[in-house]
Amino acid sequence: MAHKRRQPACLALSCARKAGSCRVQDTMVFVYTDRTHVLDLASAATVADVKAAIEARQGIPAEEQRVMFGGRQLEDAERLGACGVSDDSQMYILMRLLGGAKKRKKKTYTKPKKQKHKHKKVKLRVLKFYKVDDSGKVQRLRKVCPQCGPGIFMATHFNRVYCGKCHLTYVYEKEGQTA
Amino acid sequence: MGASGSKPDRVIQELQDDEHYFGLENFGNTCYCNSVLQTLYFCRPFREQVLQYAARLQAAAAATKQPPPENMLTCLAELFVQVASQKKKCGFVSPRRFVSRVKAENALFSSYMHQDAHEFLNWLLNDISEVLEKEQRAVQAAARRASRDVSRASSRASSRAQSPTKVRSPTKQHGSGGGAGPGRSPSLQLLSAAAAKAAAARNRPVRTWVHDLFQGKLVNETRCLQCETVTSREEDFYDLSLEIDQNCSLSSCLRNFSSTETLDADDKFFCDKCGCLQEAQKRMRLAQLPPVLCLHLKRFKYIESMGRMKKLMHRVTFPWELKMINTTDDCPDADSAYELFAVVVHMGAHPNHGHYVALVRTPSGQWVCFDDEQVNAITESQVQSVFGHTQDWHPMREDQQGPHADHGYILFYQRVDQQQQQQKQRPAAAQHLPL
Repeated sequence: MAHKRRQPACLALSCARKAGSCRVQDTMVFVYTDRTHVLDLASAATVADVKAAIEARQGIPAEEQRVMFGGRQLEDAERLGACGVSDDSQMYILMRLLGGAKKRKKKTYTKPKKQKHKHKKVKLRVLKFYKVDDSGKVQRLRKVCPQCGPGIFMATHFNRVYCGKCHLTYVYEKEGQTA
Repeated sequence: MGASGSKPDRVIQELQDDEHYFGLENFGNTCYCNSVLQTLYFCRPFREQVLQYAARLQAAAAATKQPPPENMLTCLAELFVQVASQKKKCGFVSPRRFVSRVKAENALFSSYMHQDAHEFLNWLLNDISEVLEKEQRAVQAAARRASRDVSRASSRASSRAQSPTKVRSPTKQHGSGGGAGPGRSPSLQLLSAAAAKAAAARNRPVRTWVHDLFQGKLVNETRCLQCETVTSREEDFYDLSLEIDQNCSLSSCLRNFSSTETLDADDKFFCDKCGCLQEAQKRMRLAQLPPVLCLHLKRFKYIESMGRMKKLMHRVTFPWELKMINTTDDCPDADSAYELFAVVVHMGAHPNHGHYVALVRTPSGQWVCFDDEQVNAITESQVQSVFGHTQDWHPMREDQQGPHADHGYILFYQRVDQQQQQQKQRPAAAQHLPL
């Protein structure tokens, strides 16, 4: 995952550095990440500007940063002057450890997953249910469900017949039939 | 962590104290909230304050016969009362009202995403102190209004001049002083002075019991290497966020926190005396210690070469008893001892997702693990297992069997009162005598 580095959005900062040993802005703050950065900002600069400046310096994405000042986490849109940040103020950059999920034990399956039966499409399947004999009489090749009455056929499987309407199953037992 | 499932833990059932050990239900990724709530509940001074507030609230509701407007603190008070008034010793409750209020108040926590426990704790404490501040200001304003009414009654003429300018005199004396002014223009002058004073009083930060419990002061000293001038500045804090290293102790983290750092190259310091950027040395020390000290371990790091965040699983040992070393010379009770009473533990190998549980020490010394609705007694060695790992372990796959990834993230220490300490030592000595 390549990280796109944004251009430093903090113009004020670069100006101050170019000017050499003099300062341009009115608020010089300490920002601590894992070391102290000294940033020269305007008091009208926002917290988002601080994050952008830190991103430009250390690469930490702005959205991962949390800016703490005086025991309070500052919002992106807040202006430094308005939340009490002034010359020599100390801010801290923190990041996050996210958590929330209920930890579930992972189940270990011993048997491989059972394959669910797939429906096979047979075109004009109904034609297989009837047969017209030589005399022109229609023969029904499937068993009629005794519960649902005539018109409802039972499906023929390799060892049983099954009514799809009322789920009645007859299993062939050699010759005899049992429910 | 505990072996037993959802049934109540026998060890906890048999604890001889009047505490209630209640788990909190997880409403879809709210365990960051649950674990912080448990630590706050078992922070005794905090709980006592919340329960007192709840009692006041009830009295006020009984007097006015209408429920007070809902805010974070009323919801917290309701939840704490719910737990504290349970008949059973353990079980679990649903912080439904509280969680829905959290989601209503803060857009960040309104989603069902995983969150950071420290961020939540900090937000909650700040929100509660704001609620209290507002209430105190309202009380003060009411008192001022009352005093103004008194002055208005005493002098009707000047009260007309007062009301349009909306002066709120901070004290009665100012109000009557303004009221006693003979002419209009001098009284206006007086009034503007009073108004400035009143405004100052209004803007002065109100100190609430949240501040009294959690807020400490840091002093930030910067010494210019050119002219040796020391600039120092005080900052408030609710918790200390500490850098961590592999195989270190909490004391060394604190020492590291207060170590001297040189500001040079890109980070030169603007010295007011020299009038230009200079190299400087800077260090932070504790100027005032709070009764409840939260230490937050920075178990996260941005790896620039990989372009992503990483959770640091370093081994950081923390003691049951702590003495602060990095205090200023004039810090009051600098040598008081702190006792560990709760740990918020982050479980999981990644910074982007995981699980939070709270480990809490009961007054009798038994450790209890609060894992959402489950409450289990644990041993001290199980608590020590959240110190971390001496070697880094890189999970290649989610289901790969590796060492557990439970790490202490926020540590809660409480100041041991001198009296309590003596009391503690006495029974211990008594126990030793017959042997």
